[in-house]
Amino acid sequence: MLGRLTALALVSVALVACQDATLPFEATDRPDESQSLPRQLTFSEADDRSPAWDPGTDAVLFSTEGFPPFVAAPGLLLAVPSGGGAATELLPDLQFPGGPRDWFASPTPSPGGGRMAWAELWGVRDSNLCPGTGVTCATELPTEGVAPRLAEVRLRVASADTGSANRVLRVSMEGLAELPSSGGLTSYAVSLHPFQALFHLEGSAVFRPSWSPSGDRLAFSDGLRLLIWSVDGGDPAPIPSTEDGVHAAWSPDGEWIAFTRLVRGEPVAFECLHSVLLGPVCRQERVEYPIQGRVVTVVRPDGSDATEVGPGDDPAWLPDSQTLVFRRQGTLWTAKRDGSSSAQVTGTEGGREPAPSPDGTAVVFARIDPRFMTHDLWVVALGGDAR
Amino acid sequence: MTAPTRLRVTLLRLGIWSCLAPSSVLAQEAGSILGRVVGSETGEPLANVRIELVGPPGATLSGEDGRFILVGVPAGDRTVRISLIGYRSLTVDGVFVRAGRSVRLDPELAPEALELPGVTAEVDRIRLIEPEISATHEVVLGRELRELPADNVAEVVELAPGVSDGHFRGGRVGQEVYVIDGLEFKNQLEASSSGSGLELPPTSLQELEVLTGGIGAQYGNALSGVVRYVTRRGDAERWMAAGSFRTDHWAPDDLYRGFSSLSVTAGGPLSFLGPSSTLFADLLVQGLQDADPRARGLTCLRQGDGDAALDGLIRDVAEDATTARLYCPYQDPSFPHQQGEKILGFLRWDQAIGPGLGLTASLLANRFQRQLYTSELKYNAENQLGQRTKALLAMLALDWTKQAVGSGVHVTARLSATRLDRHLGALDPWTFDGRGRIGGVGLSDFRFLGEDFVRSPIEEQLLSGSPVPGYRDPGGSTGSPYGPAGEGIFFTEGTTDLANWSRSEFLAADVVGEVLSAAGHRLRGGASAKWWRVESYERVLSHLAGSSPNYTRFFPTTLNGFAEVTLAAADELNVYLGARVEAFQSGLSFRPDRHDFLSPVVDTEWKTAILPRIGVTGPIPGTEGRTAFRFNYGVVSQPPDFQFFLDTSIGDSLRTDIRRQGNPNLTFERGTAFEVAVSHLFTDAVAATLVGFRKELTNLVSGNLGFPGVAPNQFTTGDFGTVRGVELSVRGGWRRVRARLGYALQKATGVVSSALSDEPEVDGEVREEFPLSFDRRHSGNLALFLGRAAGDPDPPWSVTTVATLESGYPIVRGEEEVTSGVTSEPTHLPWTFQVDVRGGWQFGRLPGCDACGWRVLAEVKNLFGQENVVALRKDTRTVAPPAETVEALARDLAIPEPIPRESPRYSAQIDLDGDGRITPAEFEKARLAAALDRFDPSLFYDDPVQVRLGIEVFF
Repeated sequence: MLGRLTALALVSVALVACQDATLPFEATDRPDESQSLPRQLTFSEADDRSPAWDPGTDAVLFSTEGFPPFVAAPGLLLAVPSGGGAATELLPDLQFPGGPRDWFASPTPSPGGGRMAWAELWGVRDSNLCPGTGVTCATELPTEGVAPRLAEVRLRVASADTGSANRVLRVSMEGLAELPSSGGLTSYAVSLHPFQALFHLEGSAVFRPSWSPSGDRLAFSDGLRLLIWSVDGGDPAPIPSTEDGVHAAWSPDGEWIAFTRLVRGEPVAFECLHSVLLGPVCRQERVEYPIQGRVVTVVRPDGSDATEVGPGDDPAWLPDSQTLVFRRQGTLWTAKRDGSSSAQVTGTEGGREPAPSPDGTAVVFARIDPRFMTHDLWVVALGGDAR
Repeated sequence: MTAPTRLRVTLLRLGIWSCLAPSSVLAQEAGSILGRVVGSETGEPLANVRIELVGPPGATLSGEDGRFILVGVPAGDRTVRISLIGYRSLTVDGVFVRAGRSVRLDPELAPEALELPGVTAEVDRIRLIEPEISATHEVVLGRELRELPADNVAEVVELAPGVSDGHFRGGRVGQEVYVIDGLEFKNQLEASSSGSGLELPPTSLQELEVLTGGIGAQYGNALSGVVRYVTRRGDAERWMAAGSFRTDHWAPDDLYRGFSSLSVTAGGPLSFLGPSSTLFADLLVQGLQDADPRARGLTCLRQGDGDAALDGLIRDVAEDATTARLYCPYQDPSFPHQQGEKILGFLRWDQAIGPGLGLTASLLANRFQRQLYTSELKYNAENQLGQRTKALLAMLALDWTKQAVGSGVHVTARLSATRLDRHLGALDPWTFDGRGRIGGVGLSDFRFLGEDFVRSPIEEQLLSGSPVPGYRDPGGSTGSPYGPAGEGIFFTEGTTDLANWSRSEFLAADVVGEVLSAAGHRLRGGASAKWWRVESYERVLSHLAGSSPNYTRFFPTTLNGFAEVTLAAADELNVYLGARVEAFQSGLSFRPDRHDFLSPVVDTEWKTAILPRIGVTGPIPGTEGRTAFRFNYGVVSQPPDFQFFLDTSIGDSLRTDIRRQGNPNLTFERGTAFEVAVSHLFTDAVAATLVGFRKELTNLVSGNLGFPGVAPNQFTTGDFGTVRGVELSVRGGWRRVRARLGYALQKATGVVSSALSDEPEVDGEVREEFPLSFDRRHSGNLALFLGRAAGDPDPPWSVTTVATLESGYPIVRGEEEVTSGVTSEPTHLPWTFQVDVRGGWQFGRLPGCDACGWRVLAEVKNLFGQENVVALRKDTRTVAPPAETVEALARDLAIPEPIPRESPRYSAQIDLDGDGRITPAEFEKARLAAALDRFDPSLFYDDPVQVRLGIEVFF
């Protein structure tokens, strides 16, 4: 009897066992690195620039050159999760596979979300004014013979979701004028302003727009000065005391605008000839303005109280509106608005174009990758003092 | 020798040797008892002896010569009472009546003055040789069915000599017909590609018979075989029930296949409806976590599976530390995405409604649904291909019996309605995420994406021009171990592009009548008609808007009639003569020349066939009846599958989407078959039968034979073939052991192997026969029943073993044969060997239920863990492709520049150095690993080891 009961018990236990089917395969396509700092957000060999932290989605917006599977545009706006992950295209109505290959740059979300401003580089010139020719100039400046590439920048404002309801401001960038032909040669008058050289040498987003806290105005640079544009109507107005200002950054409290003042050196005038085998075909009468320095400066929106923070460029505000983070000597620094309490942000060597997180605990920035001489985006923590 | 002893010996002798009178195999589920009554003292025939069934109604009187015949006897164990005034009544228990057969019983009655104890017939359930049967058949009784280690009836059918993988004597799949309680059933729409579509629980059967030769005139629709089911009826005396549960859910991972099976049967009298009213019910529920387990499980190519070059590729991946994890990343003893379930229900009600008049109503319902594993979708966690088959059969039979002295008349009329419904397509993820299940079984149907849409009126679908809702372009890359390197090899997003369903319904009416004489003569005739309604829907590229489905609704009709006579001639020689007339009409109109839109549309005509059948059988003189012979010849035919009337784009095994044009004007597939057989009884316990046969098939449907004037890839009946072979079957029966050994040697040749064959198109002018893809030369099997399984009630244990040994199919037919006609022996698959065992131990009364008995069951399939190979690639004749094929697949996609981590295409799996960029070199390595994985040979193997435990309770 005991044997029967034992057999019954054993069989009963076996029969009530229940297992599942073979589980589907789970592939970890992306490691979770959201908690590690510093962390690299982008890895492409393209030049990833102008990061901006989107307060609405905690994503980092940036511009890059298009790579598969995105549209192969010279300037593409993407968003990547701040913790790392797959990028998605911004403005899907404007950027889609097979769509136009525009050159978009400097995505800037409005403080309240909903809208986004960005710059469209229009009619970017070839660095050689007369393509297919060799250039011979009388000097050996680093920008010898190159054209002022920025011809026009269009500031655009649109719905952040789709890119629809577009508003556009056309901003002409100075530097090039055609002269009457001389001796059968096409002739140009070239004024290579500091901002043109900066764009050519570093790809700097000198025109980067910055929203006012109210979300109805944009501060930007036309290369020669800062301006404020009421996006819902009106012409842009220059901000006094911002000559050769680029990289506008409006403080979160709306009281200040930081920018990079390009210190203009003494002009150097000379002539360049563009030649082919049979001889010269065009000529330039150039005036170049060397960049003698870059100074982070703050000014009130009305142009008053201009104050130099110190050497550096690419300023951005921390949420307290008192502290700036900027580039100096090839790394990132923080300093108070008056220039005091400057400190280096560790782990940011080779960094530029910082963008603090909405809570001020971290900053995303572009860092040069010496292998490809292009930039990737990184995130580092900001120390307590900086905050 | 005393009278009782003499009687018992007589019965025993009759039971072993000659208890069956001359007959052919009949369709009816009832049999008859015939014999001659004599006085035990005088040996003289006794007239007016009453021979009466105990239980079911039925009685007759013996004639002046003592002969009697009792017709319309329900199949099964019967008790017969024999009585005559002035003589002591005799009750014979255990007279086993088989459907369509005549059991011979020659009792001797003793005068009342003599003391005579009761007699129990000790007859074999199945005789070792049957000298009066002109057919080649294999019978499995219900008790044996319940003891065999088989999960379904099809596995039992495979035990018949000459049957292999659904091919009966070298015929194509679908060249057989199923007969359920006399009703001829066939999946006439798509039997050749989808099987019968209807299944009975093994526990619902009284007996199962497989006929492969000498098929009588009452069967049509079959070129190669008949499977005849006789269902159980409820016991007339008391209610009996049994329930069993078997499972492997307790097993460790390497033996776990996710099988569970619950079977419940109950039957008994419905006393309130009269003394002869019975009910029988059967329910079988099977949960299948892996619906088609294979010996290697989910596996991948290993070194040694292919040639040295392939070994090198495997080494490159598996032995490189950076890529080792990409080699065979997904392995499991069970398959993923292959869940399924089967529910079979059967109900039968028998009712006597008047003298000699009986009514039987039965209902059979099936639902079998499962996922269909495909390697392309194995990393797709959401959408999988699935299939659901539902079947319903309702039948009403009226049985009339008229007894006379020395003869009897038995007429059966049936009316039945059948529906088969099959759906193939992408499964709605709800099926597994939202559907309640217990032990892998859910009560509700699988849901398919867009099912309502594809079953909506075709006009609405065409008007909408939309893709099938829910279907998406198969593609994707994330979620596989290879990320973007798996693109085009694995589809991790989207769905399969197939959406396919069919429904065939028919209403059938038939009547069969027979007249039997006590001398053993029999005359039978009958006719039947089936009215069909068929719908077929087939859509490929279902994710694309504007892709049009193939849809047809039509109404075929089939008619037939037959007559046959069995004459018991002198010297126990029996002659069988039969003839059958078949006719069908597709009910379709068609334009013979589709390129000429002005050509007239014509209606298809009736197609007819006349089928004579002859058989001679009897003992060989001088052998004292221990050796018998038989010869038979017959013309057979069957209407082609209705699916060949229609255009199709799918169905070929390689999914090449070869479009074939339907042909509504196809006529009968035909054949002639003859066989010669000799049976010999070596001892009272051992007998053997040797059969030689030849079958010539003509007018077989083909979709890839070219003929002048016929559209390319149009279905025609231009194929033909020949099957010839010998079969040996040996049977032994002892007290605790019963054994059956079968061996078949055959050769099946033809032009192409099936209507949807992938074999190359051949010129119709030079059609040559070649060994067909299912030409299995050698097949042998052994069924061994021990202990209680052999019918011995004494031991508590039972063991049943089934072993099969088979040579492999041809792999290639040889390209040179097509062009030169030179016949060379093709390369074959390796031999396969498998042993299945089921054991049981009966413990007596179940604790807590004095009326219940119970036993523990243990079952092992593929006991020795044989890795049987059931398919090989034609190009390499191994399970592995050539190395260059793998490399070519690996090379067909490359990346020109690195994929950075922020790209949606990025996968850390193949960022081998973890630097955030998938370089072209890393991609190339991963692509090679993916290509190797794509050619996983999992499905090239047969059954794995499966171990189940179970319990059976009965009262």
